[in-house]
Amino acid sequence: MQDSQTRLLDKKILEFIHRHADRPSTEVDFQALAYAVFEYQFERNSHYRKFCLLEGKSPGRLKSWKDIPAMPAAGFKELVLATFPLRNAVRTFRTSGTTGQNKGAHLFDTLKLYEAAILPSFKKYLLPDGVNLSFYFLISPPAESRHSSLSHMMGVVSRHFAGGKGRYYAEKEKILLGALLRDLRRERKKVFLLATAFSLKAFLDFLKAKKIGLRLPGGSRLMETGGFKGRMKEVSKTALYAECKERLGLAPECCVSEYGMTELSSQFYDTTLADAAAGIKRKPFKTGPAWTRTLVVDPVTGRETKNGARGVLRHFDLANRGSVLAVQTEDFGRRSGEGFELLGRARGAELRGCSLSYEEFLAKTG
Amino acid sequence: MKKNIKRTESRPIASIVTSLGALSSRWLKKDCPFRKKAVRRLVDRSGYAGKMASAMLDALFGELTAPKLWRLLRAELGDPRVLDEFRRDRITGKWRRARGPAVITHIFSSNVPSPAITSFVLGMLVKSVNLGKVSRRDHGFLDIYLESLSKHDPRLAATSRLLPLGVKGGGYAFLRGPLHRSGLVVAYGSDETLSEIKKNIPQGTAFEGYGHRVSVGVYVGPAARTSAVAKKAARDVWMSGQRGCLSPLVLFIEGRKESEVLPFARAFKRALERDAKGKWLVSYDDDLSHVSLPKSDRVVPIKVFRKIEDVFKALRPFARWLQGVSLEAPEPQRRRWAERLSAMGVNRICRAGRMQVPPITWHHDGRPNLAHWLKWADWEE
Repeated sequence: MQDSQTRLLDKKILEFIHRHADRPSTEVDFQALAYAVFEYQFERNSHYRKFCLLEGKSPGRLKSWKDIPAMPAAGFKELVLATFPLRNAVRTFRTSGTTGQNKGAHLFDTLKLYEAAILPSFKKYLLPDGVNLSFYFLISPPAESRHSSLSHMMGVVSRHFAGGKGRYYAEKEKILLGALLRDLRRERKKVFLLATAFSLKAFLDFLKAKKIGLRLPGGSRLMETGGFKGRMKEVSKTALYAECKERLGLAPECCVSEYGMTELSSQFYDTTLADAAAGIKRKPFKTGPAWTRTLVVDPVTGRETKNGARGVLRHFDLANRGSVLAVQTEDFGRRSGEGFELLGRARGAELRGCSLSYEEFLAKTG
Repeated sequence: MKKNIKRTESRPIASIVTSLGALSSRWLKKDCPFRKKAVRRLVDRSGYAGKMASAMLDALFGELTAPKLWRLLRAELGDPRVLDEFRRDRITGKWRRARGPAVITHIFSSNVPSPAITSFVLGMLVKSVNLGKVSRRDHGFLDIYLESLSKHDPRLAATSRLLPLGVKGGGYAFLRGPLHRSGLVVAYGSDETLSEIKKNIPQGTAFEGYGHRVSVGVYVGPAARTSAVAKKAARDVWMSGQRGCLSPLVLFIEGRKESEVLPFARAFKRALERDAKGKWLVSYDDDLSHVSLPKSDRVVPIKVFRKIEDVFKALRPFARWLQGVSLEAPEPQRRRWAERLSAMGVNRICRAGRMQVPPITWHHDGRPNLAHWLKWADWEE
């Protein structure tokens, strides 16, 4: 049961999301709500409050939303970052990690904001033309992966945009390649493939091995995501998209890369499809919805880089009310267009050395 | 690799100490070309900041000077000249002589580069032929050190060899030759690595393994909460890039109120971010029932305690792996807590800021450094 202050803040955030579903937010509006969320989190998220105090920042002492202290993504592995008592958690999404102990956790006391934040940008960047599509998920179904934010998101997408009829082709870490091929061959409608880079590559390799080249109907498209970190070696996106053209008949203009993090509630997308639908010719970039902002900062000084210089991405996400709204990633990028360009996802830097790591310790004392 | 490498058995220990010590003094000079090369390597390949690399070399070679090496030999052997000839023991009145193994194989880990140099120096002190395999992941700078030695003292350098690196996941079978020729195998690495290496060693061959270790900082009393101590604590943490067995992973600090701890934590974080460039995540809380070691780089949890007993209790699950504690506490408690910590298995207790400059006489992993590498002969005249 939420208290009235939380209910009120959530209402404000939801209104903001609905009001800005299709249009940008002004700096003034964004800052006002960012301050409100920051103040709330400073008060209720004790680890975040301490983090802010160590940074010398507190509500009432900021010059702009850019000054809101950004919690390193590693914080989600090390600390409980929640504005509510653990017993109120309705869902925990976990980041992928090499071992169970290494996983970060993002706790939610409600999924209302999370789900509301998914839809507008998904629609804007993947369904800008309102075409009727058949959804094919190369991602494990939400019922099977309760801790995967990606699977949950796909469930929401299927419910809202596919009438719950989207089909899943991943099962217990296995991709159902044969079934997917069979169904795609029979498909009459335009196809929407939603895949992690990992599962997509597996399907493309499968087609290659069988010497099969499909020609998906015009208007078909692909949403590909890095797989929410760490699963595989960086696959070159250009190479992956070239293979999509060869094996699926999907032109690079029909492929949109999604960038999301378990630590956030909102997602970022390439502007490729949306630009094409609006007849805009420009170099596509990544961008998020109006309740997010992304800064590119120098990893050493933490200050914003100048003139489009390379740096690490720092995201501000107002839908992240239950944890921290500002998250410092280890992902490299630079400013591009009205958004940013992703230059590579640094692997989570893990402690190495002859010092015993936590997981090893647990494994030994288990 | 040549099968027969000439040992230095007939060379007096004093001459070896003088030569190695002189080389260390060269390495301590900032303009030493080998040092410069090593710093570059540590920055480019091992990911240390320039300041860290430089501080690490100072700490290493500052302990490998001639007087310090001589002191180590005296501390562990009484009379260092037992390595040259039979010498009369002052206490028993009997004659004794010590010899190192003909061949020592050293297998190094990737985390910190200094032990490789120390291990080879110790091996040369006991007049053995030293064969070294460095980590594939991080070669460190043993090759640069040996290069400098070959310029400085070719005869001594001729007793050392680097072994091939092997292939990833290929195990240690490729070291069969050297391992079977060795009288002693010294290995650094994870517990898994050590037991893997052991499988390849003939029965009866002496084995010295340096495995997993955990170090922490313990700060007791108001004098330990100053920003001066915080800066020293930060030095302990950043100097080996959090990778060494003496890198404190968690700090325990006494405090009753948040306002007592916050300035320390702030000064600590600021010092880390200034000296070990980049952002650090420092957290603090007073839940000692749950002490977890950080899972990520550049993360340091501070645990706030009221009673020191709670710290001992919190450390108990880690006791088997405890290595060093940087301890700040008022006298006479300091001695008392040092006793308690040593009883738990901690083998090095030092003041804040000294963690990364262990003296060469420190009993690494609680054992002598070279006395137990030797075989003794006693002569009752």
